[in-house]
Amino acid sequence: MSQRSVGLLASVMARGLQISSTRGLRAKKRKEKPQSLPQHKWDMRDLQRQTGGEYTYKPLRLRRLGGRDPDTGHKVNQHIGGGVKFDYFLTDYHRRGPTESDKTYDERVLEVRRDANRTSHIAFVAGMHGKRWILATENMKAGDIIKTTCHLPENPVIGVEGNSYPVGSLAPGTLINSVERYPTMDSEVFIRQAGHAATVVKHQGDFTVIRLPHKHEFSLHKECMATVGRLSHGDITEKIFGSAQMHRRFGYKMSSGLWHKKDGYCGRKIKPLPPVRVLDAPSAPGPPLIQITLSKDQLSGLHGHAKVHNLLPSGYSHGEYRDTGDFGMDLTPYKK
Amino acid sequence: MPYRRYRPHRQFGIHDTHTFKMRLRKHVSERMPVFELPKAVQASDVRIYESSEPELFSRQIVQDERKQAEQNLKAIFSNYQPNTPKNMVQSLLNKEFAKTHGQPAYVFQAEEPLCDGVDQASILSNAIVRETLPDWVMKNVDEFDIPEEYVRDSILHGEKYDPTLEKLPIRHDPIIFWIRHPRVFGTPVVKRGNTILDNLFRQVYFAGRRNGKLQGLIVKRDPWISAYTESSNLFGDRPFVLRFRPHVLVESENADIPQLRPWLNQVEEASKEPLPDIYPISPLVDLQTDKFYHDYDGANALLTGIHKDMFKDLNPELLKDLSKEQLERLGALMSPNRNKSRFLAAMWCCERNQKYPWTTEQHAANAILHTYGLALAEANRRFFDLQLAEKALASNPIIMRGAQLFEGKLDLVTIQLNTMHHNSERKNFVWLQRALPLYKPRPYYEEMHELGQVEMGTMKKFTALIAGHPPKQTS
Repeated sequence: MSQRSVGLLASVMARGLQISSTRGLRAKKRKEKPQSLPQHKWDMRDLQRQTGGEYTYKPLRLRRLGGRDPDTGHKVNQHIGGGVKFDYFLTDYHRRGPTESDKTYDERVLEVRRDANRTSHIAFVAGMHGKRWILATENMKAGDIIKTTCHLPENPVIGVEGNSYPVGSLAPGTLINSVERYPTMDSEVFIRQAGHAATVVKHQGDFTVIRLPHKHEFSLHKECMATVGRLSHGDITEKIFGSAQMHRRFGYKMSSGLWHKKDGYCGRKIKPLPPVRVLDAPSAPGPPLIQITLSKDQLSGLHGHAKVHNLLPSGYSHGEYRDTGDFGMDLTPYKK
Repeated sequence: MPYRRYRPHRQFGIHDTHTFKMRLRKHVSERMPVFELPKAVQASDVRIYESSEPELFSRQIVQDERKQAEQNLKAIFSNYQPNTPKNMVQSLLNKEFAKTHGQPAYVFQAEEPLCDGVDQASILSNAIVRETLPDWVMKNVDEFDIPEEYVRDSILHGEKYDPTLEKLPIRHDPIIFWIRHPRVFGTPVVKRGNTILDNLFRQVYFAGRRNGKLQGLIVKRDPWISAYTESSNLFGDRPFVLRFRPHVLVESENADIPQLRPWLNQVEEASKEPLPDIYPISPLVDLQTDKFYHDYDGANALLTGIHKDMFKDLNPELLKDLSKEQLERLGALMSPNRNKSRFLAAMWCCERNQKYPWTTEQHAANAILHTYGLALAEANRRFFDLQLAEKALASNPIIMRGAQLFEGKLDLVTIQLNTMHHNSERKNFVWLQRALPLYKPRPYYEEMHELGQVEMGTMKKFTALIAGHPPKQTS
């Protein structure tokens, strides 16, 4: 690598860009597990466009991606596509209430209904500040009053199902769902799947350790809100679609014959559980994506003498080499 | 009732074609008698259009109606007198236009169901709700005699025959949700309901006239109604606006009808009853937030796009840009007869939302707020000053009746407006009878060939509500 190329690379890295490249063809390995593919079922940008980023309880008609990447339009997940368009309900995962000890924000459950777009049932609740859809817990029914408090008492409380508390205020052993990762209104939540629940394990200072259904433990800030109870529709695993066609109607395509899960014949590898992961601050947003189009010449992956024909250095051509650096990329835009 | 496109059940063979062509030839060869205009029509001196004219509906009729509205308005301005409402409107606009135009308001537009139903409607209308009909309605039930055959005809007229062949909405089946049902053409449910309500009201009107009642009525079709109350503890610093569009609005020509105060004695006593508690739901949770337009909501007239200078003098140049609807609204506002009629009752119908149907309770709440809005609109146009209105309503409350048709069932509402202000100690009265079955309709995608049983008891209550006259004062 020449000195000039190193300088260029340093300037590129200083701009916060990450360059990754693979040389040659990758060795053929086992096909990746299909679970790792993104589903790409709903176009969330369409959701943003329709709602303007604001919450609405009204049913929406979202654009379906059918397993295609929203940027490129290429088919990414071949097991998604087709099906009937169901109305999409925005669910609110973040419940907030007063921080005073004797006050709560109360809502009444108006309706509990199934949702074609998620496994758990959803509940329509109304309170003083408006109406919204939330994930329904196991025994939630129309007419129930659910309470929300952000108060952190000195002694842990035994939560009531459907009510929402900060995780730091719940007694160890409490089953919870819709657990915020960080105490912010835009954070993602754990436990959204039907019949699932996390368990409060212990409290450590400003943090509370919870155990997820797959037994991994996370340490969250004690102000993260969570709803008490197991999520509804726990028997969804016992239900069957009934026919392959019904499976297709929900937008899933056949997926057999591509990847075979390893069975017990080879013995199952028992991996130790990872240590408790501490979620103290949201991770910084990644660097912006930059789209670079490589020419056919650059895609060849050949550099220096290997890039030209054997006969060319022998005097058959007097053209100059293009300034492409050692990476096979045109770095002209980064020379400034 | 809906029309299905013809689809043969079996192969249409060569012999069938031959027979069909023969019959068609014969049919075509028959000469129709030449149409002659009846003498009665000629004598009425109305303009007659050529129905084969391609631009009949797109241009001719629209132009003529607009011209008529413009002439009406000019006639009103030519008869201008200083004491007509023109001055009142002008001062109203000058004083309050700037103050209230575009102010945020809570709006009821009959688009959202009320979560807590009748209880919530009771709070929003500041009314004590009684789940029965008023005494005078029950007493008048057998007074009007309408034969069942007439009622059956009225219903069948709406349900069986197709006045339109519009494309009906997509059918949604919640069980077999993947099926694409064939689209059918026919009459929308609302239009059918409106036809039935029209017919039923006609029967009521004739029955009333036979008994020497219901004289001097004005009936309006599909008017826009808008009413408002001032801000109060319930609504904070925002006004509460109700906008809706009943199909039939019955007005009395005679503004000097005796003031009705049937339950005036009971107001104080009944006002001590508490309104229902719907905690933790806020009564305002189903209202939309919109802007309050005084020129529309307050003055009960659509003047959007009309310059204030129009009120100084009738400038023909300004009229050019106005639509027919605006001209009519302006004419209605300027009309010296504007304050001489009284709202009596309204009728409208609703359609079932296939995916998210409203409950019976929510429909009843909708009927209450419609009738309350109508009573408020009457108070708004009768009293420009709300402070004076409170005093006037204390001695002369407004009685309003409403009937809502939904899937062959009637919600009957009577309201006595004792106060317009939610902070007032007085409360309004509502009498409600919800979902009274009248007949059993078919789904919108099926045809009704035969009408089943018709509940004449419901029809009698409806008749007594609309045609019956409350006593001047009860003891």
